[in-house]
Amino acid sequence: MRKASRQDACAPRVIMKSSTHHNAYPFAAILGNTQAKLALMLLAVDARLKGALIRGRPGQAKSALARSFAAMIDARLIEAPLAVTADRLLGGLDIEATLRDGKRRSARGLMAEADRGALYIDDINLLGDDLLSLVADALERGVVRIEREGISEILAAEFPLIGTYNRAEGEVSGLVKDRVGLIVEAEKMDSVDDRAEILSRVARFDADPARFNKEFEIETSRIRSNIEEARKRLPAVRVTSEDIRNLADAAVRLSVEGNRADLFAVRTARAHAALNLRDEVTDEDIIIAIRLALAPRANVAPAESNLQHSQSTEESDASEIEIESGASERAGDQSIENLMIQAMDARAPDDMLGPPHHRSRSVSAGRRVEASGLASGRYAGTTTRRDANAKVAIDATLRAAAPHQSARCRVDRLRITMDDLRYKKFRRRSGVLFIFAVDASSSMAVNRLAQAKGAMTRLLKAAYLHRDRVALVSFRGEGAEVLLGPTRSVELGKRVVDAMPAGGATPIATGLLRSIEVARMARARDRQQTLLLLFTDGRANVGANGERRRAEIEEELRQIGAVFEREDISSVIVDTRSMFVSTGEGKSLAAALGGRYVYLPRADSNSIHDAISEAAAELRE
Amino acid sequence: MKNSRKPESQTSIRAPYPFTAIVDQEQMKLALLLAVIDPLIGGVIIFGHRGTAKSTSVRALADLLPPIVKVKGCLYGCDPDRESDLCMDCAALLDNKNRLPRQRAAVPVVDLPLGATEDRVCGTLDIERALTQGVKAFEPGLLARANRGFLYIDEVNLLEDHLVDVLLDAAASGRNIVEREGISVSHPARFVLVGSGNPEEGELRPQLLDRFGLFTEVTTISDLDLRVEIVVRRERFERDPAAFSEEFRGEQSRLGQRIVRAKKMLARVTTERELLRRIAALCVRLGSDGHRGELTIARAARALAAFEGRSKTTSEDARRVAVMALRHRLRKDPLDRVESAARIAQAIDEIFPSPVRLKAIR
Repeated sequence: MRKASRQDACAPRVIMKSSTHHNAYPFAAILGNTQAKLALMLLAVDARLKGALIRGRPGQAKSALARSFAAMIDARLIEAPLAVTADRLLGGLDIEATLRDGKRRSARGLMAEADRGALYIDDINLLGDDLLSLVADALERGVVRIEREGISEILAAEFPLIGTYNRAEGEVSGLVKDRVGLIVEAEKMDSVDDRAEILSRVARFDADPARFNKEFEIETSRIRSNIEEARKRLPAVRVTSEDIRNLADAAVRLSVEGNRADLFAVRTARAHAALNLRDEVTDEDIIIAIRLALAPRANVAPAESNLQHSQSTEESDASEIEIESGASERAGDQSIENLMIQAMDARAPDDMLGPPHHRSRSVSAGRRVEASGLASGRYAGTTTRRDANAKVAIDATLRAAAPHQSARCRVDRLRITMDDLRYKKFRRRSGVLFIFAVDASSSMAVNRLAQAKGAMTRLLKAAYLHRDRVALVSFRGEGAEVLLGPTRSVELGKRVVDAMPAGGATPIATGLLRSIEVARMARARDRQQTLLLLFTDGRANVGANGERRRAEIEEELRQIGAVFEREDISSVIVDTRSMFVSTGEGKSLAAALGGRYVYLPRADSNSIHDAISEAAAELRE
Repeated sequence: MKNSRKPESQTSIRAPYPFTAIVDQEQMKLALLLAVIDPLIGGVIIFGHRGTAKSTSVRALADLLPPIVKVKGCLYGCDPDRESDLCMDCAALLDNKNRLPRQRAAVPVVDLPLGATEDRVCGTLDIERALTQGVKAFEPGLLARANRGFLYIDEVNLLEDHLVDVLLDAAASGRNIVEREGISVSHPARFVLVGSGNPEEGELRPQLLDRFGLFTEVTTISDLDLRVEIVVRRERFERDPAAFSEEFRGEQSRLGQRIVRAKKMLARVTTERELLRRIAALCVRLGSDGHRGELTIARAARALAAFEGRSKTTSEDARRVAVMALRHRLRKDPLDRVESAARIAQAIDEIFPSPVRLKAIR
């Protein structure tokens, strides 16, 4: 089977029937990715795990895993492309059939089609919340409920969800993360030998898929019967309340939100025991459960990469569990702390722990940004006005034409006149994304933070008005980090700013580059105008690549300015220098970035807010 | 339509988890019960983390509700005893026959599905009849179905603005007015709005917040014993829902009866003028907008008294419901919920002095 390209995914839906499974790349032939393969097998053993999210870099066989897996368990795999719309996902009016039969007919959506199969969504982190919530709802209830375009229906939709994504482009929304049992990392393959073997296998497969499948027949059959056997054993697997308590304990220590994770952890442990043909849950199963079902949901700081900066004692850090000596009285072989440590050690990929390093990336291909066309967004009503990209709203048109049919002497076809035509109105998420880029270096840090905090809180409180959102990037020392992804939550914002560390050199360029990433990630998901608010005194003293010479630093900033212009990012530079004579660095920075310059001798939060509002007002027009 | 599988059970897809089996989250459960006992309280909004039984509670509630009497065959479930509030068809029928046929029915709990479009919510032209008979007939939507019942909105912060407006209108006026595609219809739409949301998704519009009578917040439970109990119960329920529900049948039925008795005696519960004055004083002190605050406290306190089988409302009742009724209504800094809880607690202590000190405010 030819590996489907992105183009195929966006074409009219691709349904993989069972017959094509014979020529899918065999699951057993996938090298490495042990965690992901394990997760998928556990999913096959206990469907109540609901799904697996696989994160990793591009080209790590994430898609192949999903397809091979479906082939192996003989489940129909439905793929939802990124450009999918709500009506395709849910189902709705079947235009042709309705016109043909003169009665309202519905068309099944992708989720109903995935019933008793599997649903696969690539780049699931880029799917908008409105669509994700539909998927989350179906996962929870096992049905799709359709109330749209004249159709009112409930259809069965029981399917495991397999979602893959590239973490560097943003984390998956909590909506879906919370409803899916397993979250794993695709492995990086460093061994040259292994990589060579992969090349060899792929070549053999491409040459003759049937023959390649035969090579792995025995292994495939072994895996299949293992899963079968495990499914049979599952109901009898015993888990003690001690085990449940341990898992709940781990969840509490990791500050995992809600109680669903506890359930998933217990199910994971039991499924793992069943897969290993055991009748009761052991420490090994508990470790796997923590690793796959709990640790990935650990609530560290709001930014996913910020493991070094948890200041408050409430939030546990996934990489530094405090070992309370003597506090635990576990009857099991190992204390829960030890189990957790074992679970953590094995799973942390190298870019998660360790100091936040430079994330300056060159402009990427941006192939996902253009996923939705111009006439897109939430279908919100109809109009008779036709403009350039208008899409006909069939349901509304039919309703407009319907009553006139007898008058129009309808014989066997529906007669529609131009007057009947109705066009869809779409609502795109409007509002502005405010990115606060705050200089947290030693000079003037405290004041600056206070000013930024004041402005930020005010914006958050009014965010609901225009559907605005706020993000926070702080830069100091040699790096910059995203402390707050785009959000509307006042609580989250306050919590983050209060915990913000300060001190060090002033790497303005790095801060700006990080901000650009935030803007891009946000754009890929929702179209929003972006306004960058830079709080600094303009005195960058270290460049993005560690450079410390003035001229180089300035050149870097100029290049960034060019990117700003290309990406249509507006900016306001809030000069926080409170000396009497400003040496103009703030102003030249503003010029380089093509943004507004604001120097506020008083620098109180009201004047800052006013300056920001003015800039935002211009954007909203 | 080929190959579509209908879900196993008829109505709800899976039998709901019993209300009395829900672990902890007492404030939320209380708020829901009060809203059921007196629908005039105006519904509940539940704000909190994912996975904290928000939706579970609301769906479980449906099971407990006593049945209502409606006009037989009426699409809107009209109340035959409220002649001023009938739909056009029932009104016509009453004129003609002088009495209305009656029927018992379950209280409707309509779960607003995500992705619902406006035509399905408000109702619209019946295409089939139009196409086949050339007749303009109205096909009722979800608002019609929800009449005299509950409308539940999950993830209310994600709801489309224009849908929010439609719902607010109906909730405020008690009627749904449809003017589209040449149809002109108006029908009763009295429902209790229950919403749940996650604060991480952002704040709700104050106009939307204010629409809800009571506000409760739920958080993830950190007590290990409770957490274990939640897991154990859930697993047992999934394994055998019928057996699990049977375990709680006694408690469920007792709670159901308490609700029925409370509703019956509600009208007879009295509140002393002095208590009403103190409630008003509390709201003035806290600067809550308009009179809804005190009305809600008064109603909720009375419902609480009825729920506990008492015929007189006490100041303790008022204390217990004040936070729920006011937390989302304070004029100053309306979106700062954390601080407002503390302020309310303080004001309560001053105006309702009581030997019992209020512990954790949620």
